[in-house]
Amino acid sequence: MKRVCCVLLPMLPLQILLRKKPHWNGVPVAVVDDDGPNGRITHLNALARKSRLRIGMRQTVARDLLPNLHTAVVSPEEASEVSRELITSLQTFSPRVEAIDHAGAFHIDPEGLRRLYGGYRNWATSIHRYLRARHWRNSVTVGFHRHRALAVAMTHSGVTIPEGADEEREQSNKTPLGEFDLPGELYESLGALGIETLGDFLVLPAGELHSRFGAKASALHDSFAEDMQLPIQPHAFDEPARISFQVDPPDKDQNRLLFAIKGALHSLLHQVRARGEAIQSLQLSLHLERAPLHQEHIEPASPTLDLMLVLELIRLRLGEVSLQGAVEEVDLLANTVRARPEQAALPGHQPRRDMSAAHRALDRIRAAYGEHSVTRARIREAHLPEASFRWEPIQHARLGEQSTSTCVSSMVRRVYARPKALPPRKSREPEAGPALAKNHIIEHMYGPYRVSGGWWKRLVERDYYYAETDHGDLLWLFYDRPRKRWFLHGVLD
Amino acid sequence: MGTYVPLWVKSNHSFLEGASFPEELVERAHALGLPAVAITDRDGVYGLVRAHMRAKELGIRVVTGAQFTLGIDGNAHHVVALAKTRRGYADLCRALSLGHARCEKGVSLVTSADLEQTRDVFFLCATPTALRVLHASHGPSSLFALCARHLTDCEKPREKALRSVARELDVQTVGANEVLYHHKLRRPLQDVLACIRMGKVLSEAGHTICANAEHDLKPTDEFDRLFADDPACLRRTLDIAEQCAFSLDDLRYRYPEEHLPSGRSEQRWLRELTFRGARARYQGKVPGDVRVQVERELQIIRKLDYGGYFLTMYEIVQYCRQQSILCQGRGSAANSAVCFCLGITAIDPVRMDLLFERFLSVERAEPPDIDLDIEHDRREEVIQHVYEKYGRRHAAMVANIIRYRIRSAVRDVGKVLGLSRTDLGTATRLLRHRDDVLNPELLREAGLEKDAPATHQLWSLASQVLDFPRHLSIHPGGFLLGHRPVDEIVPIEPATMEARTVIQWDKYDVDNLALFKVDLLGLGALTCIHHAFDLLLEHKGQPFEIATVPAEDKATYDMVSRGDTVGVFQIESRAQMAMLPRLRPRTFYDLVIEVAIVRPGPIQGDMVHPYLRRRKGEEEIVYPHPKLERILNKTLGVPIFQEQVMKLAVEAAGYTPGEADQLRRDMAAWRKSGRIEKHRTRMIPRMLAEGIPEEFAERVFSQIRGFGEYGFPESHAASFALLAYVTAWLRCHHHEAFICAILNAQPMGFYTPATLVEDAKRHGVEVLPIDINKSQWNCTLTPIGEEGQSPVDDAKRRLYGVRMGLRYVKGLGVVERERLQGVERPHPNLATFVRRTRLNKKALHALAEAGALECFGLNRRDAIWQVRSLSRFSQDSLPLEPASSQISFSSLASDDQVLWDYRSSHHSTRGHPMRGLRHALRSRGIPEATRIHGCEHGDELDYVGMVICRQRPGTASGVTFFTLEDETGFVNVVVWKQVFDRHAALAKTAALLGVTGEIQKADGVIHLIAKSLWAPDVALAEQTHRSRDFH
Repeated sequence: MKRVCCVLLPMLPLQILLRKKPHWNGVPVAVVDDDGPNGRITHLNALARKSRLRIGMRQTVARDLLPNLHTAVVSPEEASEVSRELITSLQTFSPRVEAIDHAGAFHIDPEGLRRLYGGYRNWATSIHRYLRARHWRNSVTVGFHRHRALAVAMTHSGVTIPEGADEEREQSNKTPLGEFDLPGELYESLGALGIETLGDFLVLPAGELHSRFGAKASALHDSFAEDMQLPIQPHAFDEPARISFQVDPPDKDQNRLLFAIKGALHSLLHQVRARGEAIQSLQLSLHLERAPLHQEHIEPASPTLDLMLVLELIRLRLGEVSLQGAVEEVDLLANTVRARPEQAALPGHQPRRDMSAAHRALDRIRAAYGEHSVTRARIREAHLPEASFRWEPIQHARLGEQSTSTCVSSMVRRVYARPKALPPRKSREPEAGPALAKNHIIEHMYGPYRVSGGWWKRLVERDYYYAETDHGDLLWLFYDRPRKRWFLHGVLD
Repeated sequence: MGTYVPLWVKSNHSFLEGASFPEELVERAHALGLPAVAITDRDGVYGLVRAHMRAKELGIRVVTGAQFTLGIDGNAHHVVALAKTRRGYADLCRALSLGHARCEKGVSLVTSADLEQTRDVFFLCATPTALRVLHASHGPSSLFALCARHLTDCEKPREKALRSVARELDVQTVGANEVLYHHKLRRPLQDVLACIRMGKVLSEAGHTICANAEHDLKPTDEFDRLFADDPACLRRTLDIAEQCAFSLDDLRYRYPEEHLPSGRSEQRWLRELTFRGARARYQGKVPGDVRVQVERELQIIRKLDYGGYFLTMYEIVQYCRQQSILCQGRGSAANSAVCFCLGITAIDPVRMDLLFERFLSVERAEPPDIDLDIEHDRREEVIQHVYEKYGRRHAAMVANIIRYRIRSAVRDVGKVLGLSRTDLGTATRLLRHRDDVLNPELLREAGLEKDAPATHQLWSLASQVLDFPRHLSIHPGGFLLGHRPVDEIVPIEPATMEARTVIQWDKYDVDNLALFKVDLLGLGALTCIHHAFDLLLEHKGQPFEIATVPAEDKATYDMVSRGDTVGVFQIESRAQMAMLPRLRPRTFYDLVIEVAIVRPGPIQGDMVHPYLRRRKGEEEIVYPHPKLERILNKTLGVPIFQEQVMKLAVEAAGYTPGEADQLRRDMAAWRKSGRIEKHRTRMIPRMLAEGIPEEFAERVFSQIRGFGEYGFPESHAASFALLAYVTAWLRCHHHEAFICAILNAQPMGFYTPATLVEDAKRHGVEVLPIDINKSQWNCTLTPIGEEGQSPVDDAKRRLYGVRMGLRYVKGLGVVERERLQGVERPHPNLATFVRRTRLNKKALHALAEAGALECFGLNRRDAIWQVRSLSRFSQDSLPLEPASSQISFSSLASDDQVLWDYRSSHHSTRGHPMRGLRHALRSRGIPEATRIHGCEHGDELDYVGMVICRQRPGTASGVTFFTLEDETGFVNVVVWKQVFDRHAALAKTAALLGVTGEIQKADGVIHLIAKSLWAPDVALAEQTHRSRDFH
């Protein structure tokens, strides 16, 4: 009879948390689903459980009971990331690994490689030790039925190898139903009937379950049917597209390097295209002779398979750097996404501006001056002038929105990035007025317009004025009350 | 130097906008030498009364007005309206009411049509559009263009445009800034309030907060400088203020005129009804002293012209009688013989020697305050009757202004400051609701860095915001009624609850303006009594009313003196039960004292022990001054009641009646900081000067402070004591009817239904389980044996048991009730029952789990399995039974049955959860409650019981009182703070608790003083029991 292995890392989110925060070992810890006070506990360590905390309890209640409780959220993304890493690790023991719909559980096909280890037990023990050495608490069962093996792993620590299917059935039947992540109401309803273990549950007639307890109960029951075993759905290898080549002899000439890179890039794009993907970003690693590794991150405006575009971006980037040594080896690592066919623009709706040209231009600027070199001003609601907009990097050029306002300001205020302090006067009171450069006299002041706030961080109190000089300049000034000083904040055209 | 009147001033009663109390604004205006100040809260007159009262004290005028929101073409424009006359004020209130009526709670939008009939009001418009619209309807004479100068850069162009339109329309300008706080120091708080209102954090507040701190109440010279270019627009503020002559004192309130019988005046009709009632009360012979008292009261009522008020209360009481709704007046109304004769109250004030002047006096000339307790599940009927009888515009409920308390302050301010939600959650849990000072140490304990600026800001701002109004809620039962529409006195708003309207003032405002109000309050005890009387009539043919319950019954007092009072109104709590064996009530007046003495006032004033010692003759009854003997002789020289404290202030500290009344108000104004304290400096030196010992003076004052929290007047205690006596009598003589009634009146009282059921069982009442074929929705009395066959013939209660009602099955609601009551019974089998009732799977499961289907010969598990299948066919009309697998599940063990009962219906008739553990506990030498009661003082022992109550009174210095229960009774456990803290998690959560402690026995009262707490290692499902916790 063919065997199947189940590896279970119980309470995976809690294990992830404790690996992230090893100093929390030895204190009560809970994983919560939200950082707020109403976040509910999803996992608890033994110390917290001992202090009468329970799964499902609100964080605020738990902290009230146990003030030294340590809590954190483990996001589904984190758990998925760890799960992927674990699959990669387990793939060294068998090429056929499947993550199943139970947190921290994996099915592995033990056939094939187990002979290298001298039998199931040695093979399973190697997996157990491998994970334990990496501080993953785990149990490994090599059984005969996918779900029964999981049920055994839930209640047996270490390595378990049932002799036969009957032994596996006997062991798995003792598994409490609470281990199966059943919906609370279903679990309670079954509990009311005195059904507490898997064995109790499987005695119930399968045909009666769906109508009485719903699809979940029926599905659980079906999954343990002897004739309903699905084969393992192995996880595909998840390796990035990559290519590297040696430069012999080592070379520093950028043109020659680019030529060499072009050939490799061609192969890489072919590889990526074959996967049905496109390059989202490219990691260019240059191994230098007697100098540290030099790396560049190249990111086109959108995922691409355009060789010349990528090569142009590499050319621009390399043109801006000076390499500290000759290049011995080049490594190109592509971060890819699934490619989407470009949508043909509808006739008559083509924008007059060539946005793709704009994108290319911005790509070139970024490639030449860095990732954050292209920005736009975003208007923000604030009273303080410098807080009323923010520069933010943009990836894509956008068509400007047509202004609907018919009101056109007659003057343009040019605001200095940092207000310029004006020369101090003997009297530091605002009445003394600002001191301008020589030969400039203020003829009229309009104001004040008072802006104050930010007391929760740093108090700002400014009296703004428009000042008209004898030269006809219109200045925008303010008196800073806490600093008792005048500043020039801008000019008006 | 000129002067001005601020005409656009919003107090903190412009919820979450204004940052100063109305009093602070008035005080600041007075300090600045301003001749008047307008109060113009947003969309209402919420803060007007408080400003008015303070202004009267300071001698400054308040201009009455509001900032309302005018809707024009879908846009909202703020307009300030100022009332010139009473008519103008009434029109303004009516317009605001209309504005609120068309919007959701807390928002108002007035249309120009609402203002068409408005006269005698000045409108101050800040926008050209509003100016044009109001000019079209009201012309230029009552209109002003409002020029506001807060030094923001967008104001100048706006003002230019406004002035241009004003010139065009020939409207004058007036200068006024929007005042949001009395001093610039409140600016941060105003920013925080604005953010709370808009649900933002400060760092992202943007234009939610004001651009600068120019919204303060400015001194004259500063305001002059602002409007130096147009001083005339400031002078106009003075003219406007002078023309706005209306004052809240002008509100002359007339009570609704009743439909009087022809040819009778109000007074004459009241007199007739009173004496008619008196004859009924005194069986046709009205005693002389009662007649004298009634005459005196009628004379005062006539003099004060309050006859209509009594007639209205009489009408409401009559309505209750007609509808068979039990009601009873409480509070100071019980001091009135007229109220007693009219049937409004049930206490005879002449026999009780109660002070009528506490209720009504010519000197005080205030309207009487009658609170009417009504059966709690029928109160809504009475409220809707009042609305129907007087009309929606003539009746509205008094508001309850929800104010910031310590927890809400920390939570809301912390959120705005962007602090961690978790830390704030922890902080608010550490704080006690009753705390009125924010201790910065608590914030540190909650994990907030002590020296961090944000922590300091949190502490400072949360402290400032304490007692600030947050939003308007509804008073539990206070009504304002009028023969003229109420919305001419104060705007009316729709309440959240359907079919309710609420005024913009709370009860303190209504009191301060001496307006009439009626309090209709719900009381569970009356529901219980009514149910019990109905049961006695139905099953035993014994008609009872509160007045006909046999008085001064020895057996009842014996029971009460034992502290055997589970379920008895007012004297059932742990503290009351502990007091009863010490006080040992033997008369009704003893019960009155019992009700009043276990209160924070007497406890904090250390009045309890001296009273008990004197009662037992262990201490000589002495009076600190001979003239106090008359006041204190009823309570053995120890002041216990509110009236005594007032009289003491008059007699011993030379208070005038007016001062004494102010003292009463300050005692009533719950936790208004400083209002009680100011009496200390006045009262104690005067008492010392009268030769009263300092120790007594201090004690009286500390009791006054205690009354600030909670204290009973004698009349109120007497009203409650009457209900306590009636419920005690019912429990003593008709326990089965009493328990049935109280179970049907739930939720009410101190104990869970489980405790009530266990207590009844211990007293020999047979309580029968829920049965779908025998139980009604409510609990019922059911015959359990023929008279003569009963083991105890003379105990009639043994003839009836209590059948638990279906209402106790967890998960059944209104829909299920209708379906269960709408079908014929009995049901021959489960399938027929399911088809008849068409209940859903959840409800059927609940019934099966509760054991209600055992009558069909199915154990609970089999029933669950069956109903889960049958429920699919519940909508079928044909009586077909579906084929299904016949599975038999094991029956529950008897202990499990009890646990299931608790889980599915919060009680068990089959046994106590502790009974299953008794053998194990006994083998370890752990006694049951009855054996604890036989222990000696100082005995050390272990005890295990179910926690039914945890209580940490504010007066107990951190001590927590636990009431534990087992199958034989209760054990009171005292847990000192250090023991509680040591076992905090267990103490807070355990349903089953082990205690190691020492017996303390005094005056027949036993407490177990805990030394340690522990979790018993016996299996017991934790969900069986929920305790009632009061912290």
